[in-house]
Amino acid sequence: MISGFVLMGYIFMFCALFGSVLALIQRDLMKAVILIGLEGLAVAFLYQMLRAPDVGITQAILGAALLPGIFAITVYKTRREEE
Amino acid sequence: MNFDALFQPLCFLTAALLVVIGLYAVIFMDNLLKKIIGVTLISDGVNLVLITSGFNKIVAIISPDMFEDGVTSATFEGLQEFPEFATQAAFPLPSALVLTSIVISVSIFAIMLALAIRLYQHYGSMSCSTIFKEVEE
Repeated sequence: MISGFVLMGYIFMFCALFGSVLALIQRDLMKAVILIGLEGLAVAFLYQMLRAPDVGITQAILGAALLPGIFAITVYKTRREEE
Repeated sequence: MNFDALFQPLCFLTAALLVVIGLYAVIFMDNLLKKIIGVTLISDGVNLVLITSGFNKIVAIISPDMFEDGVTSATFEGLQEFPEFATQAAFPLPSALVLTSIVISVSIFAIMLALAIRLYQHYGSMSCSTIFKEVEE
């Protein structure tokens, strides 16, 4: 049988894979950056479920907030549409 | 069908697929920003492999008869007095390593993005094929 906790883990795995695939097929680079933030957040929750909560907190701050921020600065400095 | 026991193997599968998707992006994508996104995916996959390998490892150390090739260590003998803690704790070494790896990788991505901005200012394009064409001329 399946418990709710493990079901949430499977949902986060699906979010990580689906978000990364969707980020690579976007033509608009800002949408790709937002989807990379979604992928980092799903991986952060997955770290929390694998009993490494310190790594989860660090990934949620750096991988889901700071990394899309500096990617967004790069998109703002260069062109937004992929040629 | 026990879905709870599949949690750790599916975490390994997720990490492997993240590395494969990242390698595809690094090799075949033309835009420079998409290539850097691929490198972030590879980094997340490798960190997930390390964290997943430390999941429930203390159980294998304390009661080796539950696993076929049990690893025993004299350092963890005292943990047999706390079976509730021992069945729920994870091995702490990979999380300590991955914590450093995440922070270092973010600074590496900052340097990569700064170099990408400089390339765009010099060549006027983010496309790798255009940049290579202008380099050859």
